[in-house]
Amino acid sequence: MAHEKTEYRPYLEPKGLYNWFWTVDHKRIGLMYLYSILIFFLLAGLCALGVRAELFYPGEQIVDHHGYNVLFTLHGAMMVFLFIVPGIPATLGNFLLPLMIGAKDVAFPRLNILSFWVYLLGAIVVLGSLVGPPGSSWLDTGWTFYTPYSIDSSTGVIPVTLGAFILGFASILTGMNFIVTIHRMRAPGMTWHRMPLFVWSLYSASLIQVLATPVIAITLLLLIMERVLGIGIFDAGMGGDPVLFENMFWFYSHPVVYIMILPAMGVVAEILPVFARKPIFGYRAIAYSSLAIALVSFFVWGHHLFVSGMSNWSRWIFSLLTFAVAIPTAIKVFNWIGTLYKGSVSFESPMLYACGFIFLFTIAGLTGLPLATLATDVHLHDTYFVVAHFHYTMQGGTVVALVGGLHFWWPKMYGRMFNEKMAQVGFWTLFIGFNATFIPQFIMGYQGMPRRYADYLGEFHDMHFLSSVGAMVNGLAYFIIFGNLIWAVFKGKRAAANPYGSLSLEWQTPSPPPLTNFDEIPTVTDWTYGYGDQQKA
Amino acid sequence: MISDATEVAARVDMVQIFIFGMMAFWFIACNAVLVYFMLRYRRKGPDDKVANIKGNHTLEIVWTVIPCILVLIIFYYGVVVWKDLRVPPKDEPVYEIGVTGQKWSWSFKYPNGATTGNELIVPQGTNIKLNMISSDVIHSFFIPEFRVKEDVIPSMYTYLWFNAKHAGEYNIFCTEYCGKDHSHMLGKVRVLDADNWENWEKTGLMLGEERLTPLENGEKLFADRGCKGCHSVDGAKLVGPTMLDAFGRSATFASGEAYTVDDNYIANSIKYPNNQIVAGYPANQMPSFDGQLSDSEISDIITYIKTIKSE
Amino acid sequence: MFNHKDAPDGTFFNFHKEPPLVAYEFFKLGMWIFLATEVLFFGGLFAAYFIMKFKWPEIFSLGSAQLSIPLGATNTVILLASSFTMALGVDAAQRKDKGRLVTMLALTFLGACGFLVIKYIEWSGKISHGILPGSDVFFSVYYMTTGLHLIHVLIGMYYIGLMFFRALQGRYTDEGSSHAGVEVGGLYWHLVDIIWIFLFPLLYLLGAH
Repeated sequence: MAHEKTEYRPYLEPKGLYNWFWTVDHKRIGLMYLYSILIFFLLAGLCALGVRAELFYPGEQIVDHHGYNVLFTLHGAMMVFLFIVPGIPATLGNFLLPLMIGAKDVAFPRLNILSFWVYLLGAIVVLGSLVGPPGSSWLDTGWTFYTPYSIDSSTGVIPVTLGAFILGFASILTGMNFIVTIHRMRAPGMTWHRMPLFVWSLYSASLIQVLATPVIAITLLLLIMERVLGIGIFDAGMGGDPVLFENMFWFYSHPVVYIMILPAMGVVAEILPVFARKPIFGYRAIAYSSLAIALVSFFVWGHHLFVSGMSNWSRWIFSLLTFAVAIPTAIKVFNWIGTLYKGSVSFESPMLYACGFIFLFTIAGLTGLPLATLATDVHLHDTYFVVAHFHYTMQGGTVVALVGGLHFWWPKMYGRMFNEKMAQVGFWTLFIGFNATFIPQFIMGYQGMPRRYADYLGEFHDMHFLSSVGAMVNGLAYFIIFGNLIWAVFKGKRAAANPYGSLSLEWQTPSPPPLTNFDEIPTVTDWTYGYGDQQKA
Repeated sequence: MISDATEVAARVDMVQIFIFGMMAFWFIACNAVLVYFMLRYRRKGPDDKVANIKGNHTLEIVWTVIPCILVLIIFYYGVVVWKDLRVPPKDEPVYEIGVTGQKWSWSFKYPNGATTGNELIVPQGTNIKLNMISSDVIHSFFIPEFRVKEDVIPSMYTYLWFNAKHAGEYNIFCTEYCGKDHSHMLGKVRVLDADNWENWEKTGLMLGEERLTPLENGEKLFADRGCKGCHSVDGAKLVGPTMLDAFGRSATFASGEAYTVDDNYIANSIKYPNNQIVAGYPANQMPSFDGQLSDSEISDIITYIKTIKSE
Repeated sequence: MFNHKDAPDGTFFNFHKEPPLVAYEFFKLGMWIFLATEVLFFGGLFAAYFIMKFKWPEIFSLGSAQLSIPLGATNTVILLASSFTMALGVDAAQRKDKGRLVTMLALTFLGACGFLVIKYIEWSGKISHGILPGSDVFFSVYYMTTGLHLIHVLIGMYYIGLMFFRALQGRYTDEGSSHAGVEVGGLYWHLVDIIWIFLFPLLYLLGAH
């Protein structure tokens, strides 16, 4: 039966707020998520600049101690719950997953839009903590809400934890939707081992989303009940156990860093073969190492509690388990580098970001080693060394990959090209600013500078000053990068359907894609990375 | 970078150097190869031929097994040294000191009954064990130069130990976020040589130090015990009421009852701070100093408070 | 492998209806994943239970002794029975037997109501004796676990009621219709039952009676 050829109409039409807000189209939902998380990225980023501005010199500069505590708390809470957890899965993931596996939408389109609304609701509740005088009601517990401080604090613990609780539902809905989509909606011929690695990484991240998020939900619920009803489970004064909160909190919050980094690794695995024109090296190893990381991530939370009064034997068991994460991570890095071997490598901006990611991520991964080692972690725990380490994974890893992915798929999303020169300027500004911010933090952390300090001893001044200067450059970089991308949406030159010559399915449809993604569901006959086979033909 | 002031700290540094060496090697190796590939195989034209390599099992097994072995070595080395860092040597005498963390100061209680605030005084070359507990939220006790750190938790004793090589002064930091003045919850370890320690243990004074007058001692205690963090002496409203013109002041409690500040009221408030809360201030903020300050020290503090006058 | 047959037209209200088989496969997998999150959710609570019990064994056995085993056991039987009628309902839906499906859903709903009545008797008895959340760690855990379970029962009752009216309209049994909704509701109701099967011995039986 001949398929009726429909007229091409990009998904960006019809316009109008109503058509966006009530949409069930995964591409629109992905973009709405993108706009929302970028707003919170901006707010949380401004908080970070406030923190660094305060720390230019010892003593009080722009805010008092409480103000400083509010700034780092808002920075952490917004970055984690509102920006980086939905960061890649809900934006690039939502947009690309159905396109990559040759489907017309996700499995539950209505749950998908529900997830976005729930996200907005959660975000509003979190921001609700800002209603009221800053001095007494703005949250100052740190994003970790450690008890008993979070039980005693007079500030807005309930709105923020309730907001995070609600955001958890959005996260679970997305994860559930992705798993069902990947299981049930792959196009004919799209076997598991032909899927793009980004899909594998989303699958692994989704597993963590559905299995870890309920634990933070119950933990935060217990904390809220602690404040409302005084149930005493985390309250030492009533016979409860404050360290139980830390255990339950990190049972979620450690796996959650892999929700953040696994999709970032997936983005890099998509970009590298396209710009090296070569098959990805060790496809199965990369795919399975994502699953391995997801699995192991559930058994390592104890390394956040190496000095929290745990029994000595559980400390070394958690140390051993933590080292287990290093192996699949190392395998991935080697495979990415191997992909470039005897390729034809070009350096457009997405590739710069991918290579920059590998550089920064090796620092992030390797500085994890002294933190997993018991003897050295005791000294480094809760110092700036830890701060620098996780910023290398979160910003140097996830954010760099997100921005690289946005450059890579921007022509797909909007059918327009950004200015390549500006994109490269943006990358190098970010690269220099980022390293300038966090390398000094490694040094002062090793010298013993504790984290979350509104004020510091004079001996740490040089490193703090350097770090603050770097942070300003780091902040500037994002204005260049996103300025360029936003400019492209309105003024960029029209992009070809497949400007980078990718073989992946999402590029085999017009840019921007039509509402239904494909006129006809494609039949897949080969894996995604057949760049070597293609040249023989 | 940072000196090591105990024998174990020097061994921790050896682990650190070993790991840093390994990190440097892998960082340079990975990125040198990355950059080399980027330059060597950069695109020369649209018709570049590429090698159709999809993987290499031997190579992949090698680069899985080697990191496994290396991390096991690091893990083992780390545990061995950590055991000595964590557990005081058996069959050797240990001098035990009680530590209480509270917002935002440290109190130390010695076997001879002496107490100090924010200044931990210990003899050189002795195994010191600190038994620590918090009277409010979670704190963490950190001496960078000794490479020791352990959380200080309400309702649960934790411990750490060290043996300082030399006499000298070292920083104490609180490393678990504990609220507004977390960054001012600082202390010092003063390691004394044998003569000085003997004298201090007997008299509470350093060699050559004069005994303080009650007023001077009160002022010192007011600073060392962290009173200043919440009670200003210049009239500013902090967490608790200011001490400026406090003595003789009349006001009302949260219960509505009127009172006038006298010696008994100050002494009671230091020992049982939550019994009588001044209207307009939150309860359950101040820790009890009952048993942490002697009657003579409380009397010195009262002497000092009487002198805080605006004119 | 399944795909949407029709294209969504981009707005919420006009979203297409999935063909029955697709809906069945999707919903069932989706529900199983959701059940996994529920297990982890209650798993966190059970972890809190065991740690508190380990810390305060006396408080837990004294608290447990104050609970009424006959009432708890009755509730267990009621929930088990309602799970059974639910299973019969799913079977009826598979066989497209509208009458039996409606009856079974009604019986399941009645069972849930019975559970609520007994729960009310238990809670109001405790509260009138001044035993509240926060009275001691045992009763904090008791109210948190049974309270969250109760919320799950209420959500289940809402859905069973919804299914009842849909079943009356023939939404699950008409020609070409999908019974996926009943299947999924059944899975959920069994989970609610299973959680109670864990709660009953942990709270009521492991004590000094």
